[in-house]
Amino acid sequence: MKPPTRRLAGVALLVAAALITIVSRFASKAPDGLTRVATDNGMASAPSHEPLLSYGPATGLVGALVVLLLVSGLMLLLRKGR
Amino acid sequence: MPDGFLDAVTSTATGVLAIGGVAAALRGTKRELSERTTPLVGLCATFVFAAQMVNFPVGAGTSGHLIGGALAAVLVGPWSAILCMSVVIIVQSLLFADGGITALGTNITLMGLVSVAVGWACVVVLRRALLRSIRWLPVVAGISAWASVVASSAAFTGLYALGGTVPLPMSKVLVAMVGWHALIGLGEAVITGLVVASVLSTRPDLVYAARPLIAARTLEIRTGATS
Repeated sequence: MKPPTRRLAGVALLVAAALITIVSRFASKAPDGLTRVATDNGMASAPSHEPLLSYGPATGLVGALVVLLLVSGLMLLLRKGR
Repeated sequence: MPDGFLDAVTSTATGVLAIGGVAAALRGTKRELSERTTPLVGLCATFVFAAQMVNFPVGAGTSGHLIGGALAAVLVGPWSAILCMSVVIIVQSLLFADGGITALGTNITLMGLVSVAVGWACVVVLRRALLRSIRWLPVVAGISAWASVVASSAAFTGLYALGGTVPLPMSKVLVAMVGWHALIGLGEAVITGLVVASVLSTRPDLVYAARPLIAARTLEIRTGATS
C-alpha cells in the first residue's frame, strides 16, 4: 500500500531537519570547489554584505522554514492563478 | 558565488537572463503543477536548502555540496525546479550572505537555469535512449546530476572569460573548475540517485520524471492481461 502524501511530506521534513541540525555539524569545513579555484588562481571578490543570520542549527531551520513558506505560497498562488 | 568575481556588465546580463528564466518558469510551472504534487515543490526546495548546508570532502582540502538542480527537476519538473532553486539562492543570499547580492543573477543562472536545464535535458535523453524499467531512473538521475554540476562549472568559466574582474589564463581556470566539479559531481550523483530511489520505492507516482514510465508500464500490464 502506498504511504499517504502527508506521511511522505513529514518524513521529508524530518530528513531536512536532521540534515540541518545533526548532519551539518559533521560537514566539511574545507573550501568548496569554487572557493578553492578562486583562491588558487587569485580571483578577486568584493566584501560581502552583512548577513542577517549566520549558519547554525537553529538559524538553518529558520532558513528552511522561510524557503518552505515562500515556495509553498508561490505554488498555491500559481495554482489559483491557472 | 560572492560579489566582485564578474564585472558590472556581465552581472547585469546574467541578472536579466535570470529574470527572464524565472518569468518563463512561473508560466511553465502553471502547466506542470498538479493538485497532488503542489505541496511537494516546497518540500523539495526545503530539502535542497538543507542538503546545501552539508559540505562533503572531495580530497586535497576541498569540499563540495549538493546543488540540487537535477534532483529538483527529476522530482517536481524542470520549471518548478527553477523556482525552487531561485528561492533557495535568494534566501541564502539575503538571510545568510551566502552568495553576493550583485551575483544573484549569476548564481540563479548557473545553479538554477544551467543546472536544471542540463540535468533535465540529460534525463529526457537518457530516459528515451536507455530506460526500459523505472528501476533505472535513479541511475539516470545520478548521471544527469553529475552532468549538471560539470556544465554549471563550465558555464561559470565561460562567464568569467567574458567578464572576470581579474584577467586569468582561462584554460587553467577551466581545467581547475571542471576538474574539481567533476569530483564534486560524483557526490551530487550519489545523493541525487539515493533520494530519487527512496521516493520511487515509496511513491513513484510523485516523481515527475517517472510519469511517462509509469504510463508505459500501465499500458504494458493491460496489454498482457488481454492476450
